Amino acid sequence: MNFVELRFLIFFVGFCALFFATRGRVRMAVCLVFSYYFYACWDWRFLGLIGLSTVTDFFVGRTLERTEVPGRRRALLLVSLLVNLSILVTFKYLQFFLDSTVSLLGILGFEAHRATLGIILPVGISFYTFQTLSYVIDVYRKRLAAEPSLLHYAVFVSFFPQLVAGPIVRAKLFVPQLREIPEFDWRGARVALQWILWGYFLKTCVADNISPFVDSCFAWPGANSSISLMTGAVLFSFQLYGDFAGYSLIAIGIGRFLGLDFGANFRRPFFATNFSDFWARWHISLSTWLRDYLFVPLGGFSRSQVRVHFALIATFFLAGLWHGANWNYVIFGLMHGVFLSLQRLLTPGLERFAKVRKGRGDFLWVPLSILFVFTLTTVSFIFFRAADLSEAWEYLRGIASLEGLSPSTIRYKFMVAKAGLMVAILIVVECVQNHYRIEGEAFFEARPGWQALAMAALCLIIVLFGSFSGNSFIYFQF
Amino acid sequence: MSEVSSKRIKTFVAGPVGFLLLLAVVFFALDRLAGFGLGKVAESSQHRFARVYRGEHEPSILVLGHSRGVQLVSPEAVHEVSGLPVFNLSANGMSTEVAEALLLDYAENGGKPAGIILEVSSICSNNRLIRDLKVFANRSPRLAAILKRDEPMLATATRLFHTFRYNGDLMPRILFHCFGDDQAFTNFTVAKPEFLAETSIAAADWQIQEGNPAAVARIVSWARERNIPVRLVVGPFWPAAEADAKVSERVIAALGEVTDEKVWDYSASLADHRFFADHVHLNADGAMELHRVMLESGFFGLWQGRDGKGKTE
Repeated sequence: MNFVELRFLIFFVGFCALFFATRGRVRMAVCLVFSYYFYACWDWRFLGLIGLSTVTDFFVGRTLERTEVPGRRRALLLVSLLVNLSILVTFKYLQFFLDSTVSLLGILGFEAHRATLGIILPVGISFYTFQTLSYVIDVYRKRLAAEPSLLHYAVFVSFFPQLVAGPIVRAKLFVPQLREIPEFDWRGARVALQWILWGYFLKTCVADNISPFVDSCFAWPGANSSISLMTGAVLFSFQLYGDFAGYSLIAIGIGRFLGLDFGANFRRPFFATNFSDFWARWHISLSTWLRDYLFVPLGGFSRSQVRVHFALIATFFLAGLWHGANWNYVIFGLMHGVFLSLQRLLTPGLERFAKVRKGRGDFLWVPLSILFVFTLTTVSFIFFRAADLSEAWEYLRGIASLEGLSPSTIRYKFMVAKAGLMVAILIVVECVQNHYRIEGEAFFEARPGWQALAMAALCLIIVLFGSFSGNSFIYFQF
Repeated sequence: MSEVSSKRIKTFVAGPVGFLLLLAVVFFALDRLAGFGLGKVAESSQHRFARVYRGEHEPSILVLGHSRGVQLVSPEAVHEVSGLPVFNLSANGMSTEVAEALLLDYAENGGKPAGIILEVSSICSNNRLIRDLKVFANRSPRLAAILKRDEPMLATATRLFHTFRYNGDLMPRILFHCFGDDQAFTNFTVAKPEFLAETSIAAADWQIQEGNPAAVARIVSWARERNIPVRLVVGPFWPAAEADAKVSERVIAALGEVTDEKVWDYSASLADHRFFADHVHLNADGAMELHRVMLESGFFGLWQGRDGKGKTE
């Protein structure tokens, strides 16, 4: 089941009816049953994995709270890490590790047969695994009390709006909310509807209108002109953003409608003026997870510069691998690790330069920084999108060849024009938000009439321009 | 308006009922307004489909087909041999069943076909184009019937939301062609030899769709009843692609079962990559080269004068 399907609407209406009609444990049971049903619509067989992860971490958490012996606590943490990471490695990375080993042996001159395991990747596995891991680690670090109710904990792990593609919600933020869900608040619900609608705009109008053109560019880079490939790469950045931010916003909006706060996951990432700013705006729930559970333990805030750079590169190597079992994602992650590392090295000089430029009233400094970050991010997204490394190289070679720079060589011009119009609407709205430092909800909350007008106009744009071809969300594969 | 009633309205709009009511009223008002405006724009466009329903026609040779029909013939070259203008109604993904509906609508709206060239590999196209052609579904009972049968959800949505009619890839084209005819479309893309060599087409993507062969037979009968010459054609494929998918063989066999009209098979007539935009589409040079081949094979005999120029009445 997908947020952009009609049956989801029916599912959600049914869920809301029961959610608001019940209280306490019954309400939690409703959440759990609907969440498991939602997941079972993808593949019921993998419900067992969520169940295993939930039960293990719940009991590990409970036992951790009762244990003060450091050795035992470490052993319990290890059990949880082993169970969760074994599931993740088996279902997501085993084939990749085997293939990579065979390739490595081939390079070293040994002959090995490539085995195909035919393992299906359970949808959302990376998201809920990170969620449960953060819970156990927080309990281990004594930053969070263990959850006494298995029902509440199971809802935290599997709650349907964010189960398959995030945001990765922390137990510290979410579980206390489950205990005290506020009464239905119409003001909050209005804001939630606005978010949901904007999420649908991002998905159906931005991402899904871009998708066919980008698919055609990546299917055969050699058959496209340089300008087509450049356009495809730039549009893919917006497609990825529209797709993922769209999903996140719908999920967050559903949460808000129900009275729950999942936190933000995107904050106008393409307005970032440097790479740390970018990761503070892009997939925030993942980047903060990586910061708290990888970067800091690896020595990210240490005094040794070497250690900090190592922590950065290692964290983003794993961030890349988190996205998928493919060297493309590793390169994508490593590129960002290197960008951040270089930025750290060059920051003192850059800051001095920026101060001088700004002091002279150089209005170009900020737009140029935004353009620079956007360009390098777009290049990294080519690795993210390509099926394998050779396709990514071919794509980059096609761009660098500079063969065909006339816009007339772009195929599917009408498709590009329509996608461009949607991107333009997105940029204008985000420019307004960015410039006036206001979030839409703050403005509209006090002006329901204007909010209704804006939402009606947005509905009209979705009806007129939305693509309803039932495209799945890109991040479901992770 | 007094301050009290203004406050009352504000309070009502801030509540769930008032808010949702206002949202619905504004949305449907905008929807009807935009739907009406876009309808007027669609009416005035020079796009081929808009012209079908506007009904300003001169006797023309009609070309029908899917994307392979778009660049099948060179209008100037055909005009030179026949003395007749060409009105190309082909469109990407157009099935023969949809082509039949458009042909009948064209004739009903005053169109006078002086001949029909039908690219029959379009019997492998499904009726997906109807999703875009919903723009004209309110003007064509035939298109409306296909939409209702094949896409009932879309048909309902189209009735409910008037702007939804204009959702799709067709409306941007219609808007663009408000400023100029779309008959001059020319594909200058030249396929790279390595692209043609390294990739191909799959037979699975070229399956004959139910209902299309019968539609070809109906088009032929309709044209014969009115003494309109019909040419059924299979345009050129890149030879290796045709060898892989064997489209023409299957298409000709399927049509042989429903009509006795000859199929002019040019599927293997061109073999130079410079004539192809990709495995299945000719470019402008390809259309000119095909025209030469067609002339040699007597394809234009029905319309050709003794001097090789167009027949005059």
